[in-house]
Amino acid sequence: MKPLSFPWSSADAPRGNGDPVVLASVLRLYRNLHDAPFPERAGKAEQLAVSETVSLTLEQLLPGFCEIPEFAVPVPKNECACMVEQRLVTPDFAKMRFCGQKVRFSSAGNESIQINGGDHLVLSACGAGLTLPVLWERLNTMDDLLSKKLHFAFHPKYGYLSPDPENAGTGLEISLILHLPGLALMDEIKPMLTAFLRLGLKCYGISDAENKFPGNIYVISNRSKMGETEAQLLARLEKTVLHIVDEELDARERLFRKTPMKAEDFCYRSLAVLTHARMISTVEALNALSGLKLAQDRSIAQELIPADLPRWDDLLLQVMPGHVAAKFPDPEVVTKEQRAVCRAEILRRFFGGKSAL
Amino acid sequence: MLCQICNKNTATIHIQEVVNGKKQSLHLCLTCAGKRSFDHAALDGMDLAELMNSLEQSISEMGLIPFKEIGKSMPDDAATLPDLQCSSCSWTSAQFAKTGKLGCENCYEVFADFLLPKLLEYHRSAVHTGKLPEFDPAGSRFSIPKILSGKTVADEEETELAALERDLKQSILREEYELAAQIRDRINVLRAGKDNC
Repeated sequence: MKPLSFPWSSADAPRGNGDPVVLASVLRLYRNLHDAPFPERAGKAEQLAVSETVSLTLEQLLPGFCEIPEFAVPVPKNECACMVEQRLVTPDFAKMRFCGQKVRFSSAGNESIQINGGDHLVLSACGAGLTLPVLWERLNTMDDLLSKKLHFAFHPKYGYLSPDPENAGTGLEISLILHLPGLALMDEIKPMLTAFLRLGLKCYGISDAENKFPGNIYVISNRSKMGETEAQLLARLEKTVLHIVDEELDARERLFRKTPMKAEDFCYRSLAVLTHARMISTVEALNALSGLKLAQDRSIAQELIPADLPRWDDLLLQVMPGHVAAKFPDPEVVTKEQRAVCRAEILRRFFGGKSAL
Repeated sequence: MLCQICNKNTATIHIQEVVNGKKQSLHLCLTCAGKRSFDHAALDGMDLAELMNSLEQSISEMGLIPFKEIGKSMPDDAATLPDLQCSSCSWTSAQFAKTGKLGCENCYEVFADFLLPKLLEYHRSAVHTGKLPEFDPAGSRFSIPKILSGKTVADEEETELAALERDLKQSILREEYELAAQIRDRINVLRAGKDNC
């Protein structure tokens, strides 16, 4: 299996509300084994022992989770980058610093278990839209099942322990991927970002680009994992996100009511760039795709959008640097300019413009 | 943003006071907030003790740890942490300060004093209130061997690298060039960090 979609795009992944603002929900649980040094401190033998123990347990308890055959160790650098872009593995895992690093996926592809990344185990589940309760139920079940056989490192005061104190406590990280073009175009995004900080939320962009939030895509996640129960954490994030959704939809309404030309210009200009550019950077492509999505959400410029255009999520992935570089015979030596040309070519083919090859 | 009092630590407490329409801001680190009694130009007339008292009341109502307890446990200068070492994994306070990571579960006890401000920086409180694990000792057949070598992967690779470099020199002196090429390739792999067992 070599998926070219985000894991939440899988047909079997749960789908929730929040469309068109909430693109995806991702839950992660960080767990480590009792009486075993954390990967940062452990020697090779200890790292391999942990990997072996966890793998054997997973084979017994979660036989539906399999390793991807293509993910053979050592993993080429660009392959790692692609897996991070697809959000199949965490950036920490992709650094491949430890021995016995493995990742197993469910048959649906939206759940995974990482072994020996920064933590001994990271259980992940994702879904399209706002799907926190469903994902938590699934993750909690997996956690309870594994915790009966694997003795997790746990402290009565600090909760589940992790090499990174930020992941101690519940060890539950809730991430939501949001598309906020309305707030961005109405210049109301800065107060929102300030609010995120005050609420103890981390906020980062989807790409490693210099422009922090290309494509008007914001990934927010909880920093705090201790001091609240899992249910309180989930409820707080859900409430926060629903408020953000309301703000974004309201901003879009005001945008199209008060400055319709500005809004339409953003959409049409984006489509022009996607259809005709000869070179396009990751940031430009993501920004243009944001215009495309807004056009699709508001049913604008439908005459310019091909009927057979791939899913928007898939387009997002296709323009990421690693995925573009993967089109070349030797992805490790591709330059930024070569990627820019290739990216534009890929987009022109999808949009079938006059300058398509 | 640095604390306005000590100008060393990161400010994690931000206070804004509006008096007669005049807004005053103050940015403090946990240590300085815990000490409270100050006569510092940065305060600009603010009564810090009174402010912290009223804040503390609200915080203790929420079940969080009051600032005065945190202030007591932190050394005055964050740069001069005592030299501690975990008895289980030999992780030192210097390694914790450098990487921000801990070596094993026992480190949470050993470095508790340094951990507290970090935990409060990240989390709502430094006490876990969530679910508990359901480990069944009778049902588990697995056990992880305790630390075998006492060395980290970095230590082991450094030892191997030094030995290989020595072998490389000797094989060149003995004009065993094929062997030297193999050793050189192995050194390159280790240096590139591509060796993943």
